[in-house]
Amino acid sequence: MSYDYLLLTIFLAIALIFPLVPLGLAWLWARTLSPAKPGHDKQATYECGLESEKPVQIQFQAHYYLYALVFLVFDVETVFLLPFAAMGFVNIPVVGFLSIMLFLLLLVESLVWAWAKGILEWK
Amino acid sequence: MSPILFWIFSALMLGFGAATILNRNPVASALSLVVSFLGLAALFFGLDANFIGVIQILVYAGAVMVLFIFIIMLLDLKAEQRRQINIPALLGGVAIVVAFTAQLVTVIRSYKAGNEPFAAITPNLPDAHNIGMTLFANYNLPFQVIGVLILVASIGVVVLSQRELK
Amino acid sequence: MNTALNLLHLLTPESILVETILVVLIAGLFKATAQKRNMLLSLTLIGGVTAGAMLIFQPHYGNIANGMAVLDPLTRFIKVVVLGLSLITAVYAVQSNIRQHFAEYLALILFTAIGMMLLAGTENLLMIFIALEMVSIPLYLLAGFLKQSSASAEASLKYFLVGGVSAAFLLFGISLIYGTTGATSLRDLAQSAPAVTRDPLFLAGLVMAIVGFGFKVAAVPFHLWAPDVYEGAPTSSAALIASGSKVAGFLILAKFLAIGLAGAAGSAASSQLQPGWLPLLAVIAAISIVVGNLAALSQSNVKRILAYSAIAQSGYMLLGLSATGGTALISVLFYVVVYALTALGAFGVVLHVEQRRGGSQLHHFEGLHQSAPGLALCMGVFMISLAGIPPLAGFFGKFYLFAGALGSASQGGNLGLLWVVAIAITFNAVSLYYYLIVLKHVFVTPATHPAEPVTRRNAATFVTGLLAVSVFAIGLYPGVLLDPLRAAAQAANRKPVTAAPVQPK
Repeated sequence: MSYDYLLLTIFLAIALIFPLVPLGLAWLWARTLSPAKPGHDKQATYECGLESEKPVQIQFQAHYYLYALVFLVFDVETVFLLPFAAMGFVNIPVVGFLSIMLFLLLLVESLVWAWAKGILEWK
Repeated sequence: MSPILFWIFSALMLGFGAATILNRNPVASALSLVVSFLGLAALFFGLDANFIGVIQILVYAGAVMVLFIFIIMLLDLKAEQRRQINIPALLGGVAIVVAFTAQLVTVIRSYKAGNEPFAAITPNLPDAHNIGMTLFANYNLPFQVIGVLILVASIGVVVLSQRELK
Repeated sequence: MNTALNLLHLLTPESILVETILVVLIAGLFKATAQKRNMLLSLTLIGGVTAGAMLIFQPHYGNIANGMAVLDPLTRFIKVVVLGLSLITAVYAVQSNIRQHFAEYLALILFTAIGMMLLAGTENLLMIFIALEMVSIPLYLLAGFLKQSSASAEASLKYFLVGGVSAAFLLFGISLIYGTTGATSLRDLAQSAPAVTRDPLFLAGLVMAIVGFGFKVAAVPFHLWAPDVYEGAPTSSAALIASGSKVAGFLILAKFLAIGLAGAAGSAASSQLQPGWLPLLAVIAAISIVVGNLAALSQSNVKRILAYSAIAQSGYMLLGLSATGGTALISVLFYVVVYALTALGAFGVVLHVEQRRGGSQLHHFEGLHQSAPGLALCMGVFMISLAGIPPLAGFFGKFYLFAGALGSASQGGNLGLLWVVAIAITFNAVSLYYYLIVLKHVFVTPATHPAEPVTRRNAATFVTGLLAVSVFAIGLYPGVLLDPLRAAAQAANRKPVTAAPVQPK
């Protein structure tokens, strides 16, 4: 067993050396051979990428996200309802039936509450 | 599952997987990914893994995709459409894929277990039923608590993102 | 069927709280009237008090599904404490500046209470994780409740991000522990842990789990979220984060280490170090005490002072855990409960000042003894108790803690932990400075603010006064708190598990 971890340790050490040595060499290179020369292109926001061409703070309709997030919540609940649906009423133990009813109660409550809060209406 | 269906769904999955990458329009990419997920789900159904198949559709094609579309809308990705194809990068990518596939094939060929047929899958295993039994019998309390937790989540969504009444 | 009945029986208080939440949420939908906030608060309090009463009339022992829900006198005691702390926070909330979604605010406080009660009453890794999320997620939301304030949003986001990372650490750690021992129940874990104490995977899991818990209790070096969250969050939310979640967090950390991992403790004695969680805890405790107390010196906001003080206090509590090796939880639990009462009270005073004078900087407290002499006196009690000066409760907390650490037999002879205790006592003297700075602004510095009308009494100030009285009473006669704790712990030890674990079908 100890041999396994010894090998792993050696592997880890080598895996660390490989990136660190070139980084160190690059740092030395930068220090000694290439002094900094800032210029217009070098100072650009994305030196090698596309300039953004319009304001980044776009406006978007927050209401869509509300719908989507509420959908997400109910979507996840469906995952738990699925075994219940697949078991059928005959095979399900009483405990399971009761617990799924409680679960559904919470689900209905959150639906009623969200409805009454006006989340489900497009304004 | 008949082999013909398997090939059809695999082709669907791989084809739309490729379309996800090749499409310039992020929304079209995302929708291709949905179709790819559906093909994968069909493969699961073919293996009698119904529960995982349904989860694949509900969670990946449903919830995860909604999040993807979120991000796409939030970031307003348009720049991707104008990007030129970089020929050397493309060739390099193809070379790596070919090398990887070749390696995979050789390893599987030489690896003994890779040449043996799979053990037969028990047909018509009631997987959703079994999961349900475990969930309701052994993990009843965590299940209930998660129900409450989801109620917290839905309250949190509304409270944090509903527009303030001025 | 039997299981379900047992479950329902054992978790009646929690079920009552869920029902209360459902009622409060629906009641919150009705049209706003002048009395609505008080109506919602009374609903919450009625539900909470009923749940507390049910707690007291429950059976003495219980154990469902192999430790997923357990009940013994000690657990029950802590459950009552966290429920009480949450209800006091709800009373504070009425005085706070939360205007929108007030019913949801109260509901989230109750959700946190449920989470803390479940957390106190479980000995199963799976339930520990779910219950911790049940505490954390409502707290993230409570921290971000002031949507007009960018500080509150920042607090919520920071708390959420750090909390999410810590949850990931904890879950990964738990999965490694489960993977190496095959146990999720803490009592099963205790059986199988000694066999794998040298397994690197198990040790990695142990360290990751402690890192996860370290984030939750804000110990250095996982403390960076605490000052911003305490400062930015609504004061009532910060009070809950500082008090209730700390009590539940320390109880479960103690259970996790003392019940589940007693075999992997190691030794932190300076003469005979052995790997395990004890040395880890001792080191975290020492740096928490040093960093917390030093950083508090330069703060000008009372909430930030309380945050750094909380970090230092976490250090003391971790010292207690590492000292006793979990065999005598009593002094730690005594300390935690006293700390929670004191911190909650201090936040009550801060809430008052914030509502009256619009901020919680030190200069906002100037001349408090003229405008609100009662509250100024309370603040004096809380600060002096936090500093650990007799005859207040904080002194006895520290006294038991340090005495336990010095005499702890699990450290291979006496005085093994002297190095940590020496650090703790030295920096306790340092902490006097910033606690007294607060009191100087309250009592000595003349008011520069325009005089405000003399405070009308309200529920929040009344509760703050009550907390001050209880801190004072525990200080005069520590047995008030110590005796029930001791009795509960003895009873819990004598008869650990009575109900047969439920067999999976």
